[in-house]
Amino acid sequence: MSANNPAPDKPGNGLYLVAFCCANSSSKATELSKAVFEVEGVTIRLVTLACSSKLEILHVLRALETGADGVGLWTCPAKACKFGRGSIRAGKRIERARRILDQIGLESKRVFLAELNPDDEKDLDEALKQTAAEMTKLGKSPLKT
Amino acid sequence: MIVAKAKDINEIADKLAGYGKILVAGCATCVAECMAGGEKETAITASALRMALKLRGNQAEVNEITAERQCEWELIEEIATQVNEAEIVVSLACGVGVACMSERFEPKPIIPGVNTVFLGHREKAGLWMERCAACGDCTVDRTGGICPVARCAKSLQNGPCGGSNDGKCEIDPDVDCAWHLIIERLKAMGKLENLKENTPPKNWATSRDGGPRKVVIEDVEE
Repeated sequence: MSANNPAPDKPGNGLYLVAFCCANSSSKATELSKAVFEVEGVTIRLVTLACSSKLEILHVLRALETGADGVGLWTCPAKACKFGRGSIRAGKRIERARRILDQIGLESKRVFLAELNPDDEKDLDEALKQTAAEMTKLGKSPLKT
Repeated sequence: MIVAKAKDINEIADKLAGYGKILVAGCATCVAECMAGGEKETAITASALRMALKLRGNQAEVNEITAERQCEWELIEEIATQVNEAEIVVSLACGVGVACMSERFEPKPIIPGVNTVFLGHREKAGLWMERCAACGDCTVDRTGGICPVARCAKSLQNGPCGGSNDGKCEIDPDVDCAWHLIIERLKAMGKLENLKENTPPKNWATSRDGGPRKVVIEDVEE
């Protein structure tokens, strides 16, 4: 994973993941904010948030509506949130977004949620690799077919 | 304020079959305050509907707009162009808004996108509670401002009943017994004697039992 090895700005026909990440959970995420790159064949657009609780349900829905095959949110561990309840609030927002997707028949497992260890720089790399593998198993969003 | 709750997106999508141009219309007053039908929820509903319809093979155009209020003729007029361009409108206003929009834009179908649930207030972030049943004959002066019609499961006028247990209602241990609250409030006010007199049976004719209600103020009426 490297911003020096960018993927095309638009994902084309391949799998596309929009990855939201709390700036406090990974300095690497801050460094790569707004970067588009490829991991295991999946194009990833990384968007850094000041706190994971800045994520809105609409961000998740609009990403999926406009061409993402998956959306991920990486937060700080709940007890380590700089703003107190940010990670918990973000988790609940992801739950609501998943419920809406379940209602409309779009697999809610296309929305990923995980915590990062801010002290481990490799954590983000690992998380994105793991998510890319899961995305590959899921395949393209049915909205694209 | 009027409190509403979002409907299941699929329930709404089921009613949109065959329509090519859909408008999701929010309301920026009560339903915005209770986070069911304001601008943000309108955008969420429209996005979810676009995806739901696409998954059903329906390529309908789904647009969105939010009126300041859907229960005031002047404010409805501000979204008239967008409503007129749509074949059907999903209104995220309360039932009053849906009724007013349906009357103004007859015969265009205006369907509800939320369920109107009660008159209440925001107790804390993310929690709204029922506080008034709009019975048409307010007597909360006797009960320390706590409405037994809205908050007692049996709407008892003289309580509590035998189902009150440690301040909780028999219907659910998470529900406060309204009459327990009333007694505690009156004690704090030094007005417990309010309850010495038995309250006669309530005349429900002022409530829904008397049919649709209206209010007229002659010096304002046109």
